[in-house]
Amino acid sequence: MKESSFEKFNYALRPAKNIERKMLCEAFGRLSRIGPLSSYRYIGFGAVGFYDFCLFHQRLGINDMVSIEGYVAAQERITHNIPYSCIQMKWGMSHEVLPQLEWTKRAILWLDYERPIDAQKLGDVSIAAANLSSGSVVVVTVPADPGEVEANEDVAEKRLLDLRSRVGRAHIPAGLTGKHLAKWGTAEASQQIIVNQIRKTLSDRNAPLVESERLEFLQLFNFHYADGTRMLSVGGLLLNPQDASSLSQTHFQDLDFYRPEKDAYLIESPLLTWREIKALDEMLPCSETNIPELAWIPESERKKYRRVYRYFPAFSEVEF
Amino acid sequence: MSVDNATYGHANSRDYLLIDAMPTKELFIDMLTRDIALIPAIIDLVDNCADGAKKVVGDNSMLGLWVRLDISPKEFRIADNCGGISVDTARNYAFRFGRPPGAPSVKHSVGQFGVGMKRAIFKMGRQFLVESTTSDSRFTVEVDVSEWARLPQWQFHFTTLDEDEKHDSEKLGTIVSVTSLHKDVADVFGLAAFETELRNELKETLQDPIGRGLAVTLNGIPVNAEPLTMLSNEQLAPAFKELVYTAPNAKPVSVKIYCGLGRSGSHHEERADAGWHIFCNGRLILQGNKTAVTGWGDELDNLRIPIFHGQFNYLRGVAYFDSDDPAQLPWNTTKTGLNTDSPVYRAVKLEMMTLMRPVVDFLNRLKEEKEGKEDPGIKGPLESILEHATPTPVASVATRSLFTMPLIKPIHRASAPEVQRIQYDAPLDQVQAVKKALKARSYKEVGEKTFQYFYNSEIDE
Repeated sequence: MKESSFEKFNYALRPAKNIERKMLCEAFGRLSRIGPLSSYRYIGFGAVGFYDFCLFHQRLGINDMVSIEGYVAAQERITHNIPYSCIQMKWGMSHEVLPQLEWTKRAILWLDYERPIDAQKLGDVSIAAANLSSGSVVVVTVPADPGEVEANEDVAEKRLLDLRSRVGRAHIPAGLTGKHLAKWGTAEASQQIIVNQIRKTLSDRNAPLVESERLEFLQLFNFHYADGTRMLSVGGLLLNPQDASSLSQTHFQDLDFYRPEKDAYLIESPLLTWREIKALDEMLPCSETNIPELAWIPESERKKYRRVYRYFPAFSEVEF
Repeated sequence: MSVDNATYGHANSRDYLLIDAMPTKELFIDMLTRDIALIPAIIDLVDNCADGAKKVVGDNSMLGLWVRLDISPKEFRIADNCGGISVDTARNYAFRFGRPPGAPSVKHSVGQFGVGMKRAIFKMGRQFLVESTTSDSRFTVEVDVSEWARLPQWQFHFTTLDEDEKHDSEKLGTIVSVTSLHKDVADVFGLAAFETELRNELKETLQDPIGRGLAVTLNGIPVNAEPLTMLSNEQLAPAFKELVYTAPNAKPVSVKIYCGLGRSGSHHEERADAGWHIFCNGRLILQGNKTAVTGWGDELDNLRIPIFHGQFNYLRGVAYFDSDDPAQLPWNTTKTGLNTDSPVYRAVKLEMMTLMRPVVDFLNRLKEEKEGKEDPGIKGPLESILEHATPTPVASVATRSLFTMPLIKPIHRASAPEVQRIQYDAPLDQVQAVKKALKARSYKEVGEKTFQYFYNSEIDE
């Protein structure tokens, strides 16, 4: 790998990603019904910023953290950036590192990839589903952009061929055509491919087990967002019947972004000034039908802000 | 020695002249077992199984019959599917100390004296269970030896007994399990060296039945003449995982998976040995498999594991499936091939794939190393590690939970930047015109100079 995306973007400044991280964090907090969060392990790709690690350590009190890092050439720089001593580095690509991890503990695993879904990533998903214990969470984030728009009849076919060459024909959902892949279609197809892989692996894993040991996948997240390129984050819980019964049917339902099915939650970050944010905050919370009447702020931005204000990042310039 | 006076006082019958020579049970339990070493005692039990096998097949092949020994510090266990002991034999002969006249004999049988089973059991521990099923009977005898020794009667009792039911041929066989092992026995059962010694002894004594097709395993691994080998040293030891699956109301299936590297005599053998070998109750049912059935990639799906290529010739995987109930094992009805739909196999295949991935990664690196080196005469670090590792039989190979890449210093190639070749066609007259304009001596130079021209004027800052 020659370059990592942290050298291209400052992750802290990607607002939709930032919002997503906080939404995930809020949902993870609710896992305490299954077991104390301090008993969980967080496994992620911390890169050089470790933003997810900081948030989950600070907010959830997770002290057992593993960061998988394939960008070995930047080892020294990354090591200097480890923010907490409880973060353990595992150097290597995820497909090399994942099989070497201990899976006895409940875990939150965030496979936050920089490149679109492909065979190797599905392999990682499969390792996760084959090993994570009940009460664990797996989240998979992938770019899911249909690619350049061309006013050309072949573009749909090209998109399908591209996806097929990446994941293999066996993993293309039945009935999927190139036309489906336009706009958010690639994200929708990626979500299906990932969830199918989780379910297929669980079905094999469960095959010889008695009912009480079998794991089910409960999807919690299906985020779409675009800080530039279109992104998909799909994830959920692995539950045996006992852990499932400790969660009520409605445990996650009041979270606005809870998405157990194919329909996605679109994270849209509004473009607002500080004054606008302050003015809106004074009138929040409010219902969907009762958007703050501040006509000088475009309605579209007011609507977006209402949905995400609790997670909205506060960026400002500070001199240390 | 003192004599009990009371005996004289009341003795006015002929008993008066009798001297009690009744053997004590302790003699059998403690003394008899001192006359035999542990391994021969175990061999006695295995001989019983081989006798059963002979009884089942006569002079025919023993293919399909198995004997499975499992030893651990907690339990000794021998199970077979060699016909079982009938209730009648159990009642009248099998549990007798000594072979009574008129006892039925097996042609060419080894067990002559009728002490083998009991002696071996007493030699090893203080609790035993014998469970046997024939086509028309089934029984269990469960005995606490210490309790039994306190009773005056020379009898055992059937714990369960069933003489009316028919049993299909799948279920026939005998299991002898000994627990509460004597401390010295438990200690040696925990030693790898003892297991090796027993394995060698079994191989020797059972040459004939094994040659005739009897599958004999010790701790899940076949006791055969030509064992599969794997390369072993600190850096290349194979991964090993042991699993037990228990379905409700069924006998458990235990699974042992090894995945690592191997080296065979010739290139041809290498190719045959590479891939996965699957055994069910000691019988090889899939040899050197390199297809999707064992997790390798195919055209449709080469997700986690690529399609088999020559560079993977060193990969060796073995999975041993064992169960007292053959119906739980992942073989087809004729017991000649794998049943890929078996629930146990589906789950084990996931484990096999997890274990083989790092081995595949290693072999890919090895290929890169071989292709990347400048001097073909000098071996790269991975290649040298591989060459210095010694092939060791699977049964005695040192293992670890996961195969990991040997730690070697990364090879720093010369500091030249990575390059990419570009190739394209253009109309000849145009190319010649450009060549002339550039004063280039070759088309290669045309390509290089036009690329440099574009880079300098549009990209470089």
